[in-house]
Amino acid sequence: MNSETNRIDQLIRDLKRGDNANTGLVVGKLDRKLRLAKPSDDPDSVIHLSAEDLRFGSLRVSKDTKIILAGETLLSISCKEGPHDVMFLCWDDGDVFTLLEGSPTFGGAPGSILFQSDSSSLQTPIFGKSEDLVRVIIHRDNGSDRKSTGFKHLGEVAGYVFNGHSWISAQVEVLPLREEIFSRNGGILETGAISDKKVAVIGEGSHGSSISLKLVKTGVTDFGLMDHDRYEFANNSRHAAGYRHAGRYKVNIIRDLIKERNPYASVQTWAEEASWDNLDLIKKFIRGRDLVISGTGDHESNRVINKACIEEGVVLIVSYSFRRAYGGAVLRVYPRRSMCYECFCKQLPGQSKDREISNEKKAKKEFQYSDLSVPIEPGLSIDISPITTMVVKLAIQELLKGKKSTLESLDYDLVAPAFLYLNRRETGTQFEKLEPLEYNTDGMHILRWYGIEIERDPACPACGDFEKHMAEKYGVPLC
Amino acid sequence: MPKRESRSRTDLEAIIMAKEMPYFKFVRRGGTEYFIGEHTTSDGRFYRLVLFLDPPYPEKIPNLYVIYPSVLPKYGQGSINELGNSHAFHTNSNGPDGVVAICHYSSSEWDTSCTAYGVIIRGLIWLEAYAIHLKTGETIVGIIDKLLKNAVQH
Repeated sequence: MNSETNRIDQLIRDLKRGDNANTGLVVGKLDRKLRLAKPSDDPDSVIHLSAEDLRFGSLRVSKDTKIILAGETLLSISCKEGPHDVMFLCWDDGDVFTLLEGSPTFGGAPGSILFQSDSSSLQTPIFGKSEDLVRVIIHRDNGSDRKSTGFKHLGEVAGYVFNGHSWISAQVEVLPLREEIFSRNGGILETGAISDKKVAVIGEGSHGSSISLKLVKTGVTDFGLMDHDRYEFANNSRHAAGYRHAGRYKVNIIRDLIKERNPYASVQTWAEEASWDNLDLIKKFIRGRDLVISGTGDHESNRVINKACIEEGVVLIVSYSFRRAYGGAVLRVYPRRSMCYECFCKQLPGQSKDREISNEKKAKKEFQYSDLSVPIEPGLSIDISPITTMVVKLAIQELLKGKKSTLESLDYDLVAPAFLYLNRRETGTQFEKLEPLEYNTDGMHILRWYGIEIERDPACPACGDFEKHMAEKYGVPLC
Repeated sequence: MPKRESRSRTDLEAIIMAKEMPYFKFVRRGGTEYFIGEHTTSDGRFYRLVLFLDPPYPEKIPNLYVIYPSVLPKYGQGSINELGNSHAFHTNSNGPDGVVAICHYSSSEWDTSCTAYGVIIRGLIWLEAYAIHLKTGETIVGIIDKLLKNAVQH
């Protein structure tokens, strides 16, 4: 049986390479099994396979094909002797092959890399596995100092790709991944400025997913992600991830997308709900973090997260949209030093109750009646973007506290505990009668940020002494 | 500042309830805490309410049930119990043994500054509205809206 399996494997490899069919590989119509043809096979009971049948997405490699290698990945394997089995990512039908951190362990394009001291045989890719599609030979220059010369010590590099019949030379580039992925933030936000900071993002929907990906692009490297939801097709128009991720936990999707931006990022994922039943879990989740961001858009979750942040003393930023995202608000909470989420709700009940109902789960949670249909009113992604951008701006300022940076002046601008933004003059709201934006500069208008000063409420049930206030109100002794 | 040895939130609420509405008693039995009391509506009918302060009260919204009578007739025919959670009658999904659960606050309104006393007040308003429903057949939400409009006008 094993020998038949091996022979089938070999036949598939041959077929993929373009070797002629007539190899006798068949699929049984009844048992649907792949096996070698037998002389006794009834021709109507089997399907004979040809090379074309197995050439899925055939590659169109040429001398213009590029092979991109992350220098760090090469360093991690270059100390080992002999040819190294690797798996390349294959893009655009063989136009580009990449070998990076986090390349696939299966399903990619198999390849081999050979390090050698002698450069004379660089042009002969006669090593590796029979199924290889890419081979790279690197001349190891033992004489140079790795640290001082970057990847130059790797010396001359030659790459080859298999076109189905023969090996042809391809263009190879060895790039310093870690050094270059955030190089264009330099001068404004140095790579190391916030890379030691730990951020938790709770809620990985339309707000949280976008916030997480903006954060990784600015250089945050340590993430904790919490959300119990799974991706649905209907998320497609607002979520950072596309429909192919349907069914997956959102935290796992965003973890992968973060890693796609920075393979060195550390991402913890908790597929849990931010509910009162999980208060202790949330406290544990945020403990030791420099910043927590709530993108749940849900009143009860925000209250739970607010409570956890106050008890753990972690700064909180809350992001949410009003109904159909006609506007939104961003709150920043310094536990027991500034207003908290509940202070905001008490003092601006109109704004705090005006929330986007983006799906049925939220509708059921916020409105408990079965005989009242609650309209699902999600907003557009473009109307959520300004809110999430502001969240990340505040987050970066928070993470940069105490460090010199070009962004320091923003600390004098972004002082308010709450910010309001309007995308349009929504009918039926207090903003309906605002003057049109036109060329106006005075007064309140759409498409601008407004800082709102809200004092901390000493009688706040979350961050104040509510019991004292209650005892005084009813004239009963507190102790 | 030395830390004040405060009463627990529920102890404080029990004292407030005893002062403001002494016919509602606080009970702590095993791990369960609740207020229980009776109310006679303006039409002379007698009801018993129970408010369970299940943890994590006051963070989580508590459940308020009408435990006597266990079935509340609906005007015309049927019962309020059959409605389950209903916007028109301000009820949540039924409680233990199918008793009526009054929807006193929506989860979007509830926060930890809401008190058991405030919940019981809403429970009594609901019972008075129910008494009107039995006479007129109007929905409880309609009756309470009218009461609210009258209250605002006066």
